[in-house]
Amino acid sequence: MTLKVTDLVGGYSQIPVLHKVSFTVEPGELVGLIGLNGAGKSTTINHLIGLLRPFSGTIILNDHDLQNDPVAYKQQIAYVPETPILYDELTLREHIEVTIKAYQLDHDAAWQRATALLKTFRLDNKLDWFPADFSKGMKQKVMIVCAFMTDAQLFIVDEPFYGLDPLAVQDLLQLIEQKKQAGASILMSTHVLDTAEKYCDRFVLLNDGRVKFTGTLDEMRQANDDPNASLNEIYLNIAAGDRHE
Amino acid sequence: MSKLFQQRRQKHFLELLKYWRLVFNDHFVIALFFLFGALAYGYAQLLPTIPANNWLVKLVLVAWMVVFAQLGRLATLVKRADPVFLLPQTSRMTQYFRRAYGYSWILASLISLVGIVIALPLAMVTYKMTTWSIIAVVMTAVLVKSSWLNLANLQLMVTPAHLPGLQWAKWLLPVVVWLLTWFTSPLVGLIVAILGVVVTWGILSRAPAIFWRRAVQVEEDRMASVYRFFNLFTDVPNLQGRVKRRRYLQPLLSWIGENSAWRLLYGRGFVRNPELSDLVGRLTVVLALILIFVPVTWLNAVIMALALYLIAAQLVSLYDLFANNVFSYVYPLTKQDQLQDFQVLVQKVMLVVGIVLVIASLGTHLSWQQVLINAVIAIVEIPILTRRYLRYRIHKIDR
Repeated sequence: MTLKVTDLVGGYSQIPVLHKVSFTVEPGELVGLIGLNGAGKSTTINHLIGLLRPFSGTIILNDHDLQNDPVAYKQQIAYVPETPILYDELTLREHIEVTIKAYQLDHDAAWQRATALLKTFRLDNKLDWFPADFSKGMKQKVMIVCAFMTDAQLFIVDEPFYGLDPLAVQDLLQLIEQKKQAGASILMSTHVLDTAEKYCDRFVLLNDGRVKFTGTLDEMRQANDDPNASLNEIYLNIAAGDRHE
Repeated sequence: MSKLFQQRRQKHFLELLKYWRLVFNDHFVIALFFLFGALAYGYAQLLPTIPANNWLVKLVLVAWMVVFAQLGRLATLVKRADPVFLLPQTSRMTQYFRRAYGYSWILASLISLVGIVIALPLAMVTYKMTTWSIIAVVMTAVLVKSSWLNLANLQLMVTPAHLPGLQWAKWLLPVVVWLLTWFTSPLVGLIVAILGVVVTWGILSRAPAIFWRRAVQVEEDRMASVYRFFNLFTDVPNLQGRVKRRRYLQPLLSWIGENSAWRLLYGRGFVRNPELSDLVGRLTVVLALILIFVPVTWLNAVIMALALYLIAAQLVSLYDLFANNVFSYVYPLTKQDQLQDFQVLVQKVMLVVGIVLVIASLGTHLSWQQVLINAVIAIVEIPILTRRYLRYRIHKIDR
């Protein structure tokens, strides 16, 4: 049970942004995808959710290849985008209905999970509102509810902390922990490094479309010859090195 | 300042040109030409049957000319940022607005001329019109439009309390002038029209400076209606209809079906996004009215066939309403699912449209034969449109 990205070359037009990117995400693991602006984090995620077609390389989740078996692959992933993306024409209740239908979830069980999540994020009294009129933070919560109510094996979470109040950040981290316990994997891209340092099991550090490093924080410290360095310091180090190149 | 208007007019032209090119690049237009051709033919057939000196026909002429006088608005091309950036220039803006008036006047006069040209054959059946009276009537049309534009210009300047009065005047003046023209003599109409222009000019020349905010609002409304027109033919990015809840249409949504993701999305998208549903509604009503009033059997049948095509062609644009939403790609669904659910929606909408149009073809002449013919057309054409035609168009979109 793993996500396995092998030699992924891809991008938006003819020019590749990603160069032979390879990494894995194991079950029950929270992997942080980190890197500077323009390093290729979003491009990687866009490939993982099937929005872009790889030039070469494979993306396989639990033996289902995204290229050859997209429906079975997508059945197992849930996605929280960086900026909330909602259907203008749908109420909050209908967003949940669409999610249930799209993933063909059991209606009652899914609604039970959704109701609990809505309560956590204090949205349970807004079911008949149009989320398109919500504030940024509330929209983000809708995205989180719709993703985490599914029984996906892999959650792809893009920069989830911006716009969320501290309480919601706490709730989200708890939610991720629960999913990990249940055996699901999470791939999270973020710039909020002190949070990432505390919660991520492993990191994939992207730089200029290439994987510069994969491993735990300790392994990163060793590689940097600084056993007490924070993720922030290591990251700044790399960034500074980059600027001098 | 007049240079500024010139620049904006050029940009405006280029933008319109871009859209017109798209308009004339679609077989939708061919169908429209046919429809206009059919209407022109129907009009020609109708003319000999009209009695001379009939007061009802005169009323129709008055109504026609009054409605045409409302077309062609004052285009100022002002922008939302103008009140901020051009505020120091307010006193010099007179030049700018004079240019804007001139530009609007040319377009509006052309539209008025089209109106009178369409009306003249009917007028000549009712009256014995001399060359002089034809010239008088044509001049009247242009003059009425000029006073209308003066009033529209005044509306940007007066205090809000005067607005309703001016709005009334924009209807009342044409009504008075055209009643006098068709019921007494074109000469009397012409004299009153000249008076109208002189009086409105007099008021306008002593009016205060314009209200920026109102001018911006009016111009934005005007552009919105221009975009709405182009949206009949192509997708206009500047146009975003506000989503409406429409709780009363819940039964319709249930009937369309909500048991799959795409069905639910398309149902809501169609009903709640006013851009398309309003358009389909308007088209259906207009075409039903045409069917009611066209007594020629074969012509009525041709219009029926074209009407179904026109409406189905509009519905195609709903297919990629959600193409900008990433979840349309993230959900574990196939293109085939999407296409099937879209087809179901189009079939159901076309069924309703078909029923309305078939009932309308009973018409003022209560022809059951026409109803039967048009029902057969609907039964044959709707499946072709919702299967072959739809797949063909969507194949082109997906490519």
